[in-house]
Amino acid sequence: MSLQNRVRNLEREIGSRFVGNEEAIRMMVLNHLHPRSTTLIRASRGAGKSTLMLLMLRGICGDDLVVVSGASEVKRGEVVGRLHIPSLEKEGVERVLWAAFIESRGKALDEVNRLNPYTTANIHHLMQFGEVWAYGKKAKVGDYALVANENPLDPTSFIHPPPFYDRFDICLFLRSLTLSEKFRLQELLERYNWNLVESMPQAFSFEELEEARKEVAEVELDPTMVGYINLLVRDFQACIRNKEESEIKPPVLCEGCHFIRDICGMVKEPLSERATVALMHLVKATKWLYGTCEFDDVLRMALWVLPHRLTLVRTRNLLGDLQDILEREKVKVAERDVRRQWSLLNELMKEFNRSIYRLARDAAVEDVAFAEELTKLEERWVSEGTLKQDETLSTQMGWKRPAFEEYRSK
Amino acid sequence: MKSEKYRKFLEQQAEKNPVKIEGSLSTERFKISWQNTKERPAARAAASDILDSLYLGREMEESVVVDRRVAFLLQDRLRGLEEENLRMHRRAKLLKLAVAGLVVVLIFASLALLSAYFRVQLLP
Repeated sequence: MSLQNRVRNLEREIGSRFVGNEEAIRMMVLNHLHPRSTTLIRASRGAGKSTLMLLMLRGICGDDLVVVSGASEVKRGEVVGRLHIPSLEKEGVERVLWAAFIESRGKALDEVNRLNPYTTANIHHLMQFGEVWAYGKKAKVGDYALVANENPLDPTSFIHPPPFYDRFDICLFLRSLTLSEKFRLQELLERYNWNLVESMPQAFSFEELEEARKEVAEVELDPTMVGYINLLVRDFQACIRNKEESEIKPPVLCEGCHFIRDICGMVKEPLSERATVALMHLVKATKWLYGTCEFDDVLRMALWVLPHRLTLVRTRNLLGDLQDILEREKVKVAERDVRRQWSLLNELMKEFNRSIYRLARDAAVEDVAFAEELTKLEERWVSEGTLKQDETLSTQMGWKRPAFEEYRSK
Repeated sequence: MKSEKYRKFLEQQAEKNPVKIEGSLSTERFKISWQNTKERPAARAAASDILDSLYLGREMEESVVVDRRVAFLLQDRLRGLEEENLRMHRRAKLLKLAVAGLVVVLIFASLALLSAYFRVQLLP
């Protein structure tokens, strides 16, 4: 059986034990096709967060799986490592016994919102650098699959820092079951003797997963697809008033801004570059597994890459609001095509031409991401003496680059 | 330093949505036009053009792009319809008044006829 078929088989095995939430299962499987994958599941209590987490990890790691639960008392020695007392007493040597959680390939974090800040900091370091520290000793952590879950409405929560959540590639939301799905769940529970997780077979060995991850990493993406991913992320970051550095955030920052009705005006805290990396991994995995990946697929996958990474100006229903913004993104891409702005930029990159520049200026007042690229070209033309500073769009519209970049160019 | 993929992205986009430049850019005599030099991708199942859906009854895609000219056209059509609506409203009001007047006249005429009839009957 080919690796692709084994991965599809894993999805089938999970799907035959977990009712509903098919999109979440599909995304979770795709997300595990790159090294050191991390998945966060968010749902209210009893929605199946822990079950899905364990089904997935058992499917790819079998018994090589350790669960750290925020609902129980967690000590540092259980998560990272503890001192080997006999070595210290007899030889006076500090030896560290690394915790099973560090050594196992399947890492599960149950109720991560309840983990204390010290444990969270250790796990954050592990996800960031692929290593852990204890008693002055360092241990490198090999490839793994990490799945965490949390109930954001749980009142007994620690508030973990946004950079910690940013380390999770995707954040899946589970919904409760419909009437017919409840019947199906009861049938499944009876069929598997009320233990869905124990019945889950290991679909392939971890070595095979590593092989699949290697193949996925080698998938080449078309520059158009890479461009769409970069544009999508940039649209959630760009701000002509530089919100990343500003002390004032939208919506106050956006008052009187030309782009107030654009996507940038709806995002308070912008995305990190990890969103791009996560999307690239998912697109590569989709192409490897299904043979194709279109822009619509990227938008659908972005829904699970964005929610834990940004803050919106107004949130009624996070997923619903994000879906609306992603729809706008689709329209934005179509409008960019209609304006032929990339063709104009392509011509301007080759050489400056005043007529094309005029058309590009018209396009720039409709699109922040394009305006940024045109502004950069304007600087080059000004330094070459092709264009006067007063004639530039950035001067006339009062658009500025980040303060440190301006300082550097001076 | 520009990325090679970025350059390729721009080139592919330029190929997909070309601008037609007639004449040489190095001279003052050239013309830039927006016309498509090649066909759009094979006909989609649903129309993204709002006019197709309005006038031809085709199903719209999830996102509908309206260019400025179509937006003006729709705006103009809406303005015309609103004016037509006001005109019809005024006409309806006038007709209502006329109908009310006619009903009153009819009632009076009926009463006059009835009274004349009874007067004739009562006479010896």
